[in-house]
Amino acid sequence: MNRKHRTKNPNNNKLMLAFHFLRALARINKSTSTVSSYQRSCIIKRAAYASMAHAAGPRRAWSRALLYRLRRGSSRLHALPAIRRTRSFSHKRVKVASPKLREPNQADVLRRLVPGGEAMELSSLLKETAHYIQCLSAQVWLMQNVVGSITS
Amino acid sequence: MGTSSMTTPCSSANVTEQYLVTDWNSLVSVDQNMDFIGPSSISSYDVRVPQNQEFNCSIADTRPSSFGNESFPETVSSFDLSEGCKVANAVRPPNFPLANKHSFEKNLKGKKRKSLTECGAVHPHSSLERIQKDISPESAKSPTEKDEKKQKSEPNPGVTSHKQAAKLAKEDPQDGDAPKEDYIHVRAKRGQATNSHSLAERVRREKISERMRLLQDLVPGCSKITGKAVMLDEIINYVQSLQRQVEFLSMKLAAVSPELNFDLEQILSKDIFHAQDGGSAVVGFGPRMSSLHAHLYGPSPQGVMQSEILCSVPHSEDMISSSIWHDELQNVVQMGFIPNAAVSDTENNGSMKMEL
Repeated sequence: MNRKHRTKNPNNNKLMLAFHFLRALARINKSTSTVSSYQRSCIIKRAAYASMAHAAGPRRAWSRALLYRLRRGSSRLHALPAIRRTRSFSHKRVKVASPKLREPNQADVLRRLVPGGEAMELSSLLKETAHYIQCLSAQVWLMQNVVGSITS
Repeated sequence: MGTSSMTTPCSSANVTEQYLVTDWNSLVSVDQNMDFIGPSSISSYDVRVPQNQEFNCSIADTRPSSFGNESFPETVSSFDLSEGCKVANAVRPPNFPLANKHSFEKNLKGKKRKSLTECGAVHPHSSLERIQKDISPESAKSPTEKDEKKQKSEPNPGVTSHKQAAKLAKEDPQDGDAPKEDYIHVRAKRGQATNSHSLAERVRREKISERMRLLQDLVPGCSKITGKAVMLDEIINYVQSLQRQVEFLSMKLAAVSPELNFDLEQILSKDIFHAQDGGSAVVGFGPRMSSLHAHLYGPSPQGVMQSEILCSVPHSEDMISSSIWHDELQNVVQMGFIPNAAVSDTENNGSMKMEL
């Protein structure tokens, strides 16, 4: 699962994603047969995000941040811990020079949603968001298919 | 206003005539305009210039300032002051009090002008096409600018007294040559857009809008939205919904997958090895056609896939992808297949046949 495929072609990402995720699923199913279903779902979710990040490769800021967060073992993937949020907030104030948007709150919301986007300038944040959305939708698609194949 | 009929020698003077005719319509009678058109009036007034120096000066001031209200940057940029003096004098001698009355409104502008020149001083050095463009087709743009600036000046008139206007009128011509060059830059003031700071800002904005457009394609139902704020809202909603979906699906998988335990294990325990030397996920799915695979990738003729597709490499991309991936990802994945999948499939061909 930790094997890194540095594929230049972004379209390979979907294959890598499927590969990583299914392997992780198999591993989870093997190892956690006695755990409650909630915990299982948490683990599967983490596996999903981890496979996503692995498939995206280390070049993307969001995948790096996601993997870092996963390795640190924080169960909350999207809502940051309070301490960190305040710190990153002040940091961002320094770095981001007056976002031109009417509602800077929206950009902040987006920063919190996209992993690793906390200290990001708006244009690069949007770039990361675009890639993140692509990967997320691919992941959702894959999971839907897996669920569909299992239930049917 | 019959610009075509005016046959003054230089084109710049032509431009000024347009302004004169249009702008001073209320002040100057048509007859004077007609007089002024002829080059004779200009030349005749040239002779008189030394006689009433002061008069000349004050008028010379009134001209740019009064024009300043309507379209001074263009006039100044298009012809130099000495010529302007001539023209203005030629037109206005009879109306001088009138013109002067008009001038005090504009001398407000005169003050503004000075302040503008400071910021405008940057412009000639940087190459901003927009400014140049604005300067060159003055005649086309003049009406709108006139309106714009009239609107600006309308709240102002009568703030400065007539005396002040007169004083300014006398002061200005002394440095008449210096501000003359500055007027050219004043035109570009509106943008103030040529210092490096604002250029960088513009680049940033372009980047942002370009990425917004990129996101517009990704986020469904976002193609018709133009506002950035609304776009961001949509993007946020979409990302949140996707994340929630992942959560939901993982819960679903957790509830369901214990039954699948055996299957998945069986599939992947062996296929991982293949995949690892192949470097492609397809290989992982290729050899073992379990129930999961059949469901995942649609009902495909498995025997055909294994025996024939893998042998006939050139067609394999199409068939695999068409059978494996569903509609939306098809074309994308096809691209992804070409480099890796074909090679790895051929590599694993032997081992798969062994398994079969």
